[in-house]
Formats: sequence, structure tokens, C-alpha cells
Amino acid sequence: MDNYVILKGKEDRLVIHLDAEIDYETLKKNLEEKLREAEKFLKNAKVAIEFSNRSLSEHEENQLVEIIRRESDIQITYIMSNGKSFVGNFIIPETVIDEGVTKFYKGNLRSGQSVHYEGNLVVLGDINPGAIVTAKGNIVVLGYLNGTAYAGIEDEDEAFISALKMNPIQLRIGKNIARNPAEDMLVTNRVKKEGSLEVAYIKDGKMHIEDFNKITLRDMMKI
Amino acid sequence: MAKVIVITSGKGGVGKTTTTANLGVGLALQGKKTLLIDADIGLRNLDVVMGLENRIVYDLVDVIEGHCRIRQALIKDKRCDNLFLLPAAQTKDKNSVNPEQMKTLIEALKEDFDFIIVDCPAGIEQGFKNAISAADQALIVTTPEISAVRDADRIIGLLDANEIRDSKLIVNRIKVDMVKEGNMLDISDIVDILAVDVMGIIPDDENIIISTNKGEPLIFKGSSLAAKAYGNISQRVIGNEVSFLELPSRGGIFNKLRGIFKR
Repeated sequence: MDNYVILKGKEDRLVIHLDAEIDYETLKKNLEEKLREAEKFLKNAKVAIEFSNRSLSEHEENQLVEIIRRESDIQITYIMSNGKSFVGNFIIPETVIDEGVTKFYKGNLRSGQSVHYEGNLVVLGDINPGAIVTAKGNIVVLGYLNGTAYAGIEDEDEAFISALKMNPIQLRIGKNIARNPAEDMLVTNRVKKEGSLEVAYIKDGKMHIEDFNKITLRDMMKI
Repeated sequence: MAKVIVITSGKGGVGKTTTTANLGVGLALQGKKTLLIDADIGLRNLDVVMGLENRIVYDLVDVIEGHCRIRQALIKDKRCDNLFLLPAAQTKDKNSVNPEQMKTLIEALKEDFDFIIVDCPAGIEQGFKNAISAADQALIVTTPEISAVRDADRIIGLLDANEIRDSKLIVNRIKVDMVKEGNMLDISDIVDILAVDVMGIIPDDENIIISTNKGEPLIFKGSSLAAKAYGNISQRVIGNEVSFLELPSRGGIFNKLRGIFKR
């Protein structure tokens, strides 16, 4: 049998050494053979796998993973490739949209403090009245948004703002501005910290602030 | 070694100086050797509230500029043992002192006291930076008004940035009846926004104005609710656990009637 594919157990993982030159179809066939051959040895082990020696496209890698699932009983916990690793269940959706870079800011933003990022912004904390967050892309607040948030600062109406709960002073998405409708300042400054995830987005040229659920998600995707 | 506590608020007129005076007397009455420092250079008030204005010879700027020794500028309060005041200069401004000088001064005084309480000026500029420079802890005074709470939030952020993390809140001038009627932020509203522990709640009390005008901190005559509240804060600063005061509403038949007509 050809040795275009070599299976090696290495500490915590199964390394799958691939011949760099041979054509892809032969490589696939060889992988199938090797897996069948090693079936008794591999059994239904729970292992991380690593492809080495050959750079694979995302599509190729998915196919090889599919072969492993078909031809062996091993349960893959992680897939490592080119030094990167990502958590399996190894079904990689092909429709992942590249939304650009994202910054994670940890901590509460108090009055007078501000954070800006030339991309998407995730705040792990509360945004108090008087604090401002701005982002070129989307803003996600894993906390309470009671200050001002400005998503899509370069007139990007597709951007959205999401928070665990929002009672903001003002929201801006692209060219759209929405201000808190409360006439009583006491209302905007009572920030009861409870509730579910909320999202603000533009639909038909108007800003909508709604609980985040399947229906809002559908509306946001404009299906 | 003294614990240095700065009394601050951001907003003016919320009761920083009154709180400093009463807390200082409260601590001294508990037998703690206490120094009050007025950091409000150019707009000094603490000496007036304490009734010690006429005894000032040297002030904080004189000490920093080397015109006198530290001891010469300290005024001993004769009404109780253990209480001293270092007054601010009235004819200078905040920029005549910098944070390093203030820190050096306070460090030099630390050995001789149990507590050093710094009365911070309003604002977030030089005076604020001077006042917090040596602080171990901050007590943030706020009132149940949105603007005061907003400024307190700003101050907590700035304190955080200056590594003063152990901030506690004093809510001043609570009007129980207004809170009950929903016309004023209540304690839980304020804590929801600021997310810091409450060190004390002081009811609105006209006696404060009378005592300020007399130059005699209210806590000396411990009968009113506000005086008791300051007494409790002093206890908590020392580390004793004291439960919060029950603040009664005015009640009375007139108010009850008014309540009925409102509905």
C-alpha cells in the first residue's frame, strides 16, 4: 500500500501526515485505506486530530474530516490545522460571513468614559448613562446599555446594536438616530438591572428595538 | 499609620464638607486621632463649618511652600480630643499645589494619626487630582438627584483609573416622602446605576443648615436623625457593623389626607 498518508499517535492527538505532492483524489483514497487498516487500533477513541505537512483548503479539510467520520469510529474533539485549532463538532458552515475584526472590552463604562473601535465592539459590562460607545461595525453589550451607542459610524445602516437590556439615552445606527422617548428624566435614569437580550436594528429605514428572538433575527436577516 | 479617606462627589453642593466635618468629629469621639485636610484651595469652607476659621495662622499652601512647619499649620479642635484641621489657603488657587506635593505632605502626617480625611473640591480638575493623590479609600457623597448621581458615576470611573478601588457611597438628603411618592430616586435606583456599596444614608435635615451656620457639626448634639446617621457612618468607617436607620415618613393626618386626594 502507498504511504501518502501516515497516521501517528502523538501525546494528546492523532497526527495525520499528508504527502504534499500527490494529487488530492489519491490522497483521499489512501486516507480511507489507512483508516480501515487502523480501525482495530483506533477503535472509538476520543481524540484531537491534526493534519500536517500539507496545506488544505477549508473545503478539502472538511472532506477529509468527513472521510474520518465515515471510515472510523473515532470521535474527534478538536481539529488542528496550520497551527490553528477550533472546537469540533467539525461542521464548518460555508456561509460564515466575514464581518471584520472585533474588539472585546471588559469592564463597566461609567459616565464620561468612552470606547471606540474601527470594527465590531463587544462590551462585557454595563454602559451607564453618560458613557458612549462607538464602532464602525456592530455593537454587542453583554450587560446593560443605559448610555449612548453608535454603531456603523461610517453610515452603515446594516449595523446593529444588541444588549442584555437597553434603556439608552440615545442610539445611532448609520444615519439614523433614536432618542429615549421618556419625558421624565427619572425614567431614563432608573436602570433596573434585569431582563433578556435586546437588539436595535434598522428595518424599512426605521430603528426597531426589540427582544432578541427568532422573529427579530429573521427580520434582521431580511428574509 | 493613618488610613487616608477622601470625601468626593464631582458635583458641588451635595454635602462633602458637611460630611467631612461630621465624620471627622464622629471618628474623634470614638477615640480615633483624626486629621481633616481641606483640599479646596481658594474656596475653603471646612474651617467655617468647623467653626475654626478665626484660629487659622498658616495653611496647607504655607506648609507646601515651606513658610512654616507642618505642626504649626495644624489646628486642634478644643471641643474634643483627637481632632485636628489642616486648612486650605484662601488667597491661592488649586494650581499652587500638585499631586506629588500633596502626597508627600500626607505621607509625612500618616504616622501621627489613625484617620486622615481629605475634603475634595467639586470638579475633576487639578483640585480633585490633588485630593485623591494619597487616598486609600474614597467616600462618594451623592444626593438622590440625577445630576449628582451622574457625576458620582464619573468620579467612580476616575477613581478606578487612579487605582482607588475601595469606593463607598454616602447618599445625602434623602426625602423619605418624595421617594415614597416616586418623585425621587431611591437608594436601590442609585445603587443600580453606581454599583458600589452604601456606607451611609443621611436624611434631609434642616438642622444641618443651623449647625453649619453655627460652626458646630451636628454630630456634637447627637439627637437628630442626620446626626445619628453620621454617627453610624463613623462606626462603619472604623469597621463596626451597624444596621441602617429606619427613616420614618412624616406621616401625620394632614399628609395622609393629602395622599388620599392625590389618588
